[in-house]
This record gives sequence, C-alpha cells and structure tokens, in this order.
Amino acid sequence: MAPNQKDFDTIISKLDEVQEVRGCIIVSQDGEVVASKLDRGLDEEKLVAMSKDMVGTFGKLKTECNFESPEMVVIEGDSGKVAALSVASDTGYIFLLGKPDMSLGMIKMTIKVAIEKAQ
Amino acid sequence: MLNGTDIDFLASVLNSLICRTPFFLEISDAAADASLKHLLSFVPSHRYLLVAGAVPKWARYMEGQPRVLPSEDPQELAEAIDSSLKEERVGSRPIQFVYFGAGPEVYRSVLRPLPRGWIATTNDIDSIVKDLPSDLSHYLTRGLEDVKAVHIGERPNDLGFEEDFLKRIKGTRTTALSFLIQKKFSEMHLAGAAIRRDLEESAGTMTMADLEDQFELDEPTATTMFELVRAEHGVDIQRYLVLPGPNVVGIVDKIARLDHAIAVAAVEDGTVLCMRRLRYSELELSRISRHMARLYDQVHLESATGTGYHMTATFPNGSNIVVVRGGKTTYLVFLTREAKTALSLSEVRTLVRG
Repeated sequence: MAPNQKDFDTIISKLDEVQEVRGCIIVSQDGEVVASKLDRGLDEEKLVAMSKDMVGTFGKLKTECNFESPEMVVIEGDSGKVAALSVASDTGYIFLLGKPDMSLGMIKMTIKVAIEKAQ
Repeated sequence: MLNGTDIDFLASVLNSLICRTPFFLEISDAAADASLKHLLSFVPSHRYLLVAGAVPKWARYMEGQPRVLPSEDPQELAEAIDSSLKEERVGSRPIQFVYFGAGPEVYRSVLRPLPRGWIATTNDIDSIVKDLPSDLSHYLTRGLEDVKAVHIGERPNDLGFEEDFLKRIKGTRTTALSFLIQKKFSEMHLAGAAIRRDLEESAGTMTMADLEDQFELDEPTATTMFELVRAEHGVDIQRYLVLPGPNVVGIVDKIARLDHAIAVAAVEDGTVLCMRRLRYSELELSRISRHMARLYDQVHLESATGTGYHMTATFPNGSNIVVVRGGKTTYLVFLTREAKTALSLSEVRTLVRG
C-alpha cells in the first residue's frame, strides 16, 4: 500500500527528531511537495526548488536515458550533506539536509520504522 | 590468416590509403595478379578509381568501375590526374590513381609531381628506390609472402589503429578481410561527410563524446576519420571539435583503470568532453552524464554544502555513479554493483584532486 499524507507527516516528524537532520522535504514523483520541515535559517523556497529540480532530473534518467531512477543520491561537502532517498516504490523522494556527520544508515532505519508503523 | 609480418605490412598499406601517401608495389611471384587484386580491393570504394599504364584485363572490371586513362602522353596524363586532385579540394569525389607497370621514367614524368593518392605497380622496386631523389623520405615494407612496398613519405609514428583493426580481423578469409576493410573505410567516409554537413549547418560545438553517441564512432576510428577527411578534402574537422585537455584525458584514463568501473565521463559547462566506455555499450552515457553533472551543480548552488563536495547515486540494481569535481571539470564514474562505493569514491577523489 502506498504511503498517504498522514504517513508522510509521521516520517517528517520522526526525521525531525534526529539531531543531525536540519530539514527534510518530501516530493512526489510529479514534483509536488507533500510534506516539509526545515530549520530556521534554511531558505525553504530555494530548497523546494532544488528538490523539485532533482526529482525532474531523476525522471529524465528514466524517460530520456532508458536508465533507472536512483534509489539514493548523496551530496557531501565540508559544511553539510544533502541526501535524496526514494520512498516506497516510486512514490517520491525524501530530501534531507544535514550536518556533515548525518548518518544515512540511521536515517534509512528511521524511515523504514516510520513507514512500517504507519502501515 | 595473417601473421605478424603481414599485419605490419598491411597496416602500412592501410595507413597509406587513409593518408593517401603514394606507394609502389612489387609483386614478383607467380600469384602476382591474385596478390595485387587482393591489395587493390582495399582501395576505399568511395574513391573514383583511375587507372593507366599496362592495365591488366581484370583491373578493368574491378569494383568501382575504374576509368582507364590513355598513357601515351605522360605529361597529359600527369596533368589530368593533377587536375582531378585539385578538383577534390572544391568538393569533387576523391580519386585513387593506379598506374600498372611503372618504371623510373614513369615515376619522373607522371607520378613524381602528384602529391598524393596514387599507387604504382612495378617489376623492379630496387631501380625505383635508386632513382628516388636523395632528399625524398620513403620507407620499405614487405609482407604477404613476396610483396614489397615503397611508401613515399615519412614512416608513420603510430599505426596502432591499423594494427589493432587488422589483429581483430586477421583470422577471416580473404574476401571477408576486404569486406571488413571496406566497411571501416565506408564508416569513416560517411561519418566524415555527415559531420562536415553538421558543422556547416549548425554553429554549435561538437565533442568526441558526441561523435561516439551520435555517430557511433569510437575514439580511434574518429581520430583516423579526421586523417581520412584531411587527406581527401583538405579539411581539418578536428579543429571544429571541443577536445579535452591532456590533463582531463589523463585523469579519465586513470579512473577507467579502477576496478569495478563501467564507464567514465568528463563534463565541462554541460558538454561531455571525454568518455571511456568499458562495458555496456548500450548505456546512454553522454546524456546520463550531462543530467548528473547538471544535478551536481544545481545541488551545490542551492544548498551550499560547502567546498570539496562530491556526489554518489545508488540505483535499484545496485550500481552506483560517483561524481567528483576537479577544477572546472566534473568527472562521473559508473560503477558495478560489486564496487565498494566509499572506497571507489576515495580513489576517484585522489585521482581527480591529487
């Protein structure tokens, strides 16, 4: 069963509890923002635009390049980390902005538990 | 079946055909006609074949329907060929001139003034060599049992393309060998014509990656195709291509040697400059690389992850793409599912950033 709005809200609040996470946005496969929570100081408008743009590019990999959409994309820099994780079979992507020490293993576990609880 | 000597010999012949370096052939054994027929079957079929001298009957019926030119007046013959060579420079079909039974006199009066595009058969190559001007570069090759060739020009530094190609097809029978050589020449000729048209019609840039993606030319074939077009039309299309610097090529080649690398691409300003496709030729490498490099730039701009950033993407089938920036160039490495991404990333970062 595909996750619904309530499930997304649950996932967002669970992720918000992780200390190294500074914000998260869930974008559907169509590029719609279905839930988001960002720390103060983060430019929501810019980050939403970036997330939508990334989902668009993931789609192009499939439609234009006959390739798969990625399961996970991680960009790591000196001052932070951005991760995009695919949610339950092509439903959309969770975008996470975190500190450089944000553990993606823990995040994945949190998402999995949140989805299982919601279902 | 070609042996090592034959491959060396034929590589020089192919190179002379590509670069249109003039050469003499001496075939003195009993099977002279068969050997000569075989060698002349390599003459690119898109060239207009002109023959003169003691033309054997079979030569009149060669593929390409040669035009037999009168040989009585050497000066007239030389002028006719010279004028055809000049016409090539203004768009006419390139010619290949074959003179049968040339001696030193024919060389002096007919062939010597012609700068390119001729082959001459002779019974006495030693007399020809003795008669060549002392300052004229030439080199001798020998193969196919008893065939000798004297090529007029500097010995090529690199026959890698010709040798690799011949090694791949060395086991095929004679007719298949001619067919495969003609197929390669046609591929280069047709690609050259299409690329010239493309460059004339659009003001856009073209890269080696475009040649690979759009014209399905691998890099060695593309490089040889530049030579062929230059020799046939006097046009250097390589000048119109955006080519990566040696530093970028060096890094890409080093990355390509990593374990588990499937393909490597270098992208600059949205243009794929260089690619190495190691496995999975059906991968839309250029297009995927452009999208991924754009994504990488976008994320950095929007989220300010800081300097020294890199990107990894994991796909449902377990394969990965690692993206690292070095200077203005973004390097993308496609890895197999067996790759340890963190280790590969560290190796790529070391190679890119030193």
